[in-house]
Parts: sequence; structure tokens; C-alpha cells
Amino acid sequence: MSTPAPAAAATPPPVAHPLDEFSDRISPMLVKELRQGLRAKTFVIVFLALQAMLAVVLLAAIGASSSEDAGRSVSTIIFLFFSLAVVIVQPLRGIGALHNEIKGNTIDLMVLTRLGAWRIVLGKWVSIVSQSALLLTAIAPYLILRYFFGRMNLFAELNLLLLIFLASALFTAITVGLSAIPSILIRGLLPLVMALYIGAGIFAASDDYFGDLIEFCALQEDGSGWALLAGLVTAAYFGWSSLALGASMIAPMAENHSTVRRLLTLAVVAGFAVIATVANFDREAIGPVLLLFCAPAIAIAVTEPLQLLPPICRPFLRFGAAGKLAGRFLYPGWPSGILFSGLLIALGVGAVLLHLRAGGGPGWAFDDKFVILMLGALGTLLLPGLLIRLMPRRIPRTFSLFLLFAGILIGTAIGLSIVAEEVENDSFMWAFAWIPPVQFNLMDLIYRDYYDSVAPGATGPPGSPDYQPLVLTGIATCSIYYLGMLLFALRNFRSIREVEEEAATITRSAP
Amino acid sequence: MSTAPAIKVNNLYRYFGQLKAVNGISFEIPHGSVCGFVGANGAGKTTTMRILASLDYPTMGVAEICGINVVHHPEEVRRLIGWMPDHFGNYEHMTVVEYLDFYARAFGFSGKERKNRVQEVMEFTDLVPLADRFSNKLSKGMTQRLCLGRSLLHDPQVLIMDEPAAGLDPKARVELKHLIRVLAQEGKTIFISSHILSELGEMCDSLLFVNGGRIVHHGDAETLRQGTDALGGMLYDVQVTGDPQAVSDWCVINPHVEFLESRKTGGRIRIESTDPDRAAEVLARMIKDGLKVVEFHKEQRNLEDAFIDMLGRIDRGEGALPSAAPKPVLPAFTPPESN
Repeated sequence: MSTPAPAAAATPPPVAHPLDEFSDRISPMLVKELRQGLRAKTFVIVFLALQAMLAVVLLAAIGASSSEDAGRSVSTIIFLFFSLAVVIVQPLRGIGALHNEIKGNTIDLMVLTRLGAWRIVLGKWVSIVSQSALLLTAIAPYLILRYFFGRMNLFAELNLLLLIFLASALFTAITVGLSAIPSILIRGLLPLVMALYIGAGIFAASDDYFGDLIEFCALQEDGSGWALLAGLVTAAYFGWSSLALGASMIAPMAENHSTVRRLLTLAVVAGFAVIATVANFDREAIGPVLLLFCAPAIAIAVTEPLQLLPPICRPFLRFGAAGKLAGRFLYPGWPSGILFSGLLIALGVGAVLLHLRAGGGPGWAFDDKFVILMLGALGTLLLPGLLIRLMPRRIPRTFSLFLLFAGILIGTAIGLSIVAEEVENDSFMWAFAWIPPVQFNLMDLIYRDYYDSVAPGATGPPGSPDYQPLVLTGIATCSIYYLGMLLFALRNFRSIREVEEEAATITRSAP
Repeated sequence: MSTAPAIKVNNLYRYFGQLKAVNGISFEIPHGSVCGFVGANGAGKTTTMRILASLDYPTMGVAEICGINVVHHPEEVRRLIGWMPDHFGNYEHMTVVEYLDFYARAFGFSGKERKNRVQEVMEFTDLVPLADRFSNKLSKGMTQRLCLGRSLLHDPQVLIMDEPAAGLDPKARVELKHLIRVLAQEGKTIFISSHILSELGEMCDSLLFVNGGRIVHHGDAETLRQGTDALGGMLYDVQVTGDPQAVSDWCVINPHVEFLESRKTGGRIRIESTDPDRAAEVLARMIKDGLKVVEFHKEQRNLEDAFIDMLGRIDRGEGALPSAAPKPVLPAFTPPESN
């Protein structure tokens, strides 16, 4: 800008400070967030309170150092306070991270710079995690002092510390990602409920299971290393999914976040399927794990707003018909999201089938209960997606509504089971079999009815419970819900074609 | 600089469900000019400006900045524009200099260049004395200067300012007006919306009046003042001692004189003739009828009058004034409805 130049000429240039150059190497967003975050009262209070409490506890322990268990007690208390600070308080600071920017209209100002949505979200997350890391370094002196109390498994305790830190990073990613959602119920209440559960878990672990945790973290048991690795990969995937959700919710329409997110989900699912087959994982665990990977991807894909612009289509169109076909699955927006969900489900089912064959187990035969659980869970993901499409009014942000519908379905199933318990007649629940979570109740009902039918004194029930009607119900409901969504999606493909034509015209007319 | 106009909007539509926020508007703003965007609340000003700033997208039509389509090339457009929204929140625990430093980093400045740039902008917007004050503790006027400073950091060619003077005290308004004048002299294209029409009239080379999502006039302030004056005649300010209501009562019973607006000690009237003798006759009659007239002087039609008359013409179905807007062409882009 030439505007301020005359004034600038009269001003001596600012004196460069050596440390200033360092900040140029990190993200502007991180610089901003750290400036704000380190001055925030919450952080200062948590930091000082943690120091004060640990100092008091350690002094008290030194006074009673004759006790043999003093070292373990000190460890327990250090981990308890540290866990509460970094796994509860720090992540909850992320609740307003993106919402405050959206509410203050500052998100628009940021996206007009060179900061993309991902850099904004990542900066927010890294800032809170960095402050948690600062808390981690702040307790290091206490851990060193604790070493002199003796009976310390250094490797296990450091491992546990790292796990707590990673749990903090994951929960922070979830709160930061959800903070872009307008609904206070989802953005605020959900993390608070999660925090309550995690807090209860931390107290229980520090009271009763601290020894078990240390043993696990020593990685001496068979498979504990693999379990840890699998947990880390899963946490990384969920953390990334949460941040990706936040990024896509604040991104300008010309930024495409969906394609990479969907491709990565496909890669994770395919990679897990291959590893599970090669390593011959437990058959019953594969389905739920795959569903766990697919659930957030499906929920996001079927609720994405359809705001397709020509710049997004252009990279796909370079690959001709193949690119257009790929676009049907990977373009941003719910219509392609529904096709993508179908692909993901097919891939998951294929992975389970392949695994059964490779394992040489019962071949194509399935355990009915496993199938019912999988279909019920899948239906719980699909029905809210269909209900959103059936809504008479168009709602711009449907992710909150999706979660609300899913919550209502689960709540309905719980309510029906309570009613059935009260009226001592649960056969009416078949009328609600179309509600996927109710299928879990019905599975239990079939099981109980079968055993109730066996005469007292008989050696054992003949045959086994007949789950086939419920399996068929599950298959039918899932198919209907998916096909219903697909119909809505296909109706909107016309507008996608129009945008593709527009993008092709621009490409042709470009010099 | 390209030969294309700084801002070009052609047959632009933006629907939100059933609401037609922008309903087929077309206009062009040449480089280096200041254009005021005027309209009632909900007329479609902010929506149009957000589309131009690449923050929203049109349902149909074309919007270009310096010949670059805002939908097709938003990244390029963002380098060319500075955006001042009508309201925005400030950050907690962040000083003025840190605020500008953050945005300078975000625009890609680094090292000494960044510091110089922040310093230049702070001096231009007179923020140097406030450098260490927390940005959320600033007054509205200071906040607007900070926002203007932020929007100038990357030296944009086009400034889009949505209601920058809203809520400002008179001193802050004068300061802001001065800054805009300086920017205009520097050759920047400024597209500014405001409710304060008199100020826009002083600052702007042209005015765009929008109503119900449509452009109803595009031209300079003088054309507008004269062009909307369908009734003709002259306006006079009449001040009396005693009951000011007496002026309006007198106008009711006297033909060829219309009472327009109450004022503290009298009112504003229209005499249906431009002849000064006729005005003298009216004054004489007022005095004869017992009105204690202490002041009687001719007034210019202001932009508020023009705007109200313009809306009146549209309400009466007489149509708006012919404007300088280009003729619409076929829409070049039709994105799908979002859901």
C-alpha cells in the first residue's frame, strides 16, 4: 500500500529481536492463540493451582516418607492432578474455540487472508495442546523428586504420562472440532458429559486401578504393545476426524475438505481390513472396529451442505469420465456423501467377508447376534440421514440435527424397554422394529422368550433362538433407509452436472 | 491495473429459500472511484458486499473484482480486496499491535517487512498511541480504525466497507471520513454502504440505491437530488416563536404550500413554485395570519429527501430513475441450492 508511506518515512524501523524471527517459522494462528491462551485466566489458574497442590502433596509425603507406599501414593496424586488438569480442564477450553470466531464475525476476516480453514483449526488445537505440554513440563520437577521415594517403574510411569497427554490431545481435538457446531447442546453439553465420564474414570483409576495401569504401561503383557499401537492409531483417526469436521464447517465454499477426508477414511478402512486379515485379528472385533471408523465419516458425509462450486469440480474434470465418476463419490455435499457412505459400507462388509474366508472359520456363515448388532448400529447411522432429507424445510447445518435424531432414536429404544419392563409385556416392541436401536431390545427379547419356553427341569433347550426374522428386519430397514437417501441424492445430481458443465466452460475459455 | 472495471456486477441474484435478498442487480464501478451503496435494512446491501468479498456465493449471475470472477477465483479476489464488515468481535488478551501483527502474518508478511507494514498502518489510522491497549477495550471509533487498518495491511486495490460509520460518534465519523478521503486520493476504489446519506453524498463520486434486492438508481448525488424531485417547487425552513404546531396547521388551510417535516421550533415546507416573489407572498401571509415568524430561509434538497422520494415513486408504481447500470446479460453461473 502506498497510503501510509509518507508517515512511514519519518519513522525509524523497529529494532529486530533475535527471537522474533522464530515466530515467523510457526503458524500465525498458533502465535495468536498462544498469545491469547497463555494470558487467559483459566490457564494461569490451572498452572498455579497444579503447582501449589503438587508442592503441598510432596511436602506432606516427605513428612511421611517412612511409609513404604509413599512413592506410589505420590505418583497416584501427581497423575490424578495432572490428569484432571490436562484431560478435563484444558480440552474444555476448546468448547468456544471456533464458535467465538464465528460469533464475532472474525472467521470471515481470517479466511480472507492466506489462512485456510485447516490452519485455523489446527492452530487452535496445537495451541491448547502446547499449553498442556507446558503443564507436563511443569510437573517434571515433582516426578524427579518422586524418583527419590523409590519403587518407581520409570518406563511405565513415563508411558502413562504420555498416554494421559495423548488422551488430552484427543479430547481437545474433539472439543475444538465440535466447537464449530452452532447448537450449544452438541458444542457444549456433549463435551461436558464426556468430561464428567472421563473425570469419574480418572478418579476410579487413581483410586483402584492405578497399579493395573502401571502394569499395562510397562508393556510386559502379551499383546499390550499392539493394543497400545491400535489405540494410538484409533485416537489419531478420531482426533483428525474431529478437527476435519471443524475445518469443513468454517471453510469458505470454494475450499474442498471433503475429498481428502473421504479418501483418508477409505484408506484407513482398507488398510485396517488388510492388516486384520493378514494378522488374523479376532473375527468378532473387526466389524465393530470398522463401524467405529466409518461412523464419523458417514455422519459427516450425509450431512454436508451441498455448496458445489466450479473451482472444486475442475481438478476432477481433468481426468475425464473417471474424474466425473470419482466426483460422484468425493465431491463435497450430501448427495455424493450418500454414495460415498454406500461405498464405505460395501468396503466394510467386503472386509468382514474376506476376513471370514481367510480365517478358515465358519466361511460365509454369520453369528446372528453379530449381524443384528452390526445392522442395528448401521441403521442408527442411516435413519437420521434419511429423516434429515425428509424434513420439509431446508436446514443449512444438519450435523447437529443428525446427532439429535440419533440421540432420539437411542432414547426411544431405552424408553420402550422401560415401558416393556413396566407393563410386563414386551411383544409390542415388534411394532417399533423399524427403529434400529430397538432391534437390540428385540434381540434380547428373542433370547429371553426362547429360554422362558424351556420347561423347568429340562436338560437344555433344543436348537437355538430363532433370530432370522430380526436379521431380515435389520437388512430390510438398512436397505430401505439407504435406498431412500439414495433417491434424494440422485435427484440432486442434476445440479451437480450443471456445475460441472459450468466448470468445463470456464476451463475451455481460460487462456 | 487491468482495463476491467474495479467492480462489475451483472444480473446478480441471491436467494435464501423464498427470500430474494438480491434480485438481479447490475452495476459497474470504475477504478479509483468512491461509490456509496444505499438502501434500507434488508435491501440486500450486505449480501451483495459479501458476495463481492467472496464470503458468499450468488444463486445466479456474475460478480467480478478487477475482471476476476469472485466465484471462480476467490483466492485471487481476496488479494485484491480489503473487507470491513458491519460488525465484528475483537479478541480478548490481544493488544492492538498484536492484532495487526497477527493479520500481517496471516497475509504472508514476515520479519522486518511485517513490522514496517504494521507500523505504517498504525500511523495511517492513528493507532500508535493505542498500540498496547487490549483490542477488546477500544471504543467503537477506535475499533473501526483498527478494522480499517487490518483491511489495508495487504494494500488492496478495492475496499469494501459495510456500514463503517454505524454507531460512531460525530468525532469518530469525521476521522473515518478523513481516512476514506485520503484513501480515495491515493486511487483506491471504495465501495461503501451507509445509512448516513449526507456523508455519503460528500464522499462519493456515485451512489447506488438498492431497494428490495434491486438497484433503483445509480448516479451522482446531484443527479439524484434533482432527478427525484418530481413535485418541483422550493423548500423552506420556517421557525416561529410560540407553538411550532402552528406552522403545520397553517399549511393545511393554505393551498400550494405543503408541510414536510416538524422541527423543534417550526418545520420544513414546500412552496409549489420556484418564483422568489411567491415565497415572499407566503411569508407575508403567514405573518398576516398571526404566525410569529423569526426565521424563513431556502433549503437545498438533501439526499434523504431524494431517497424518500425515490421510494415513494417506486411505491406509487412510477418506477425508479434511469440509472447508469449496464444492461443485464444471460447468467453465466447457476450453482445448486444448498441444503
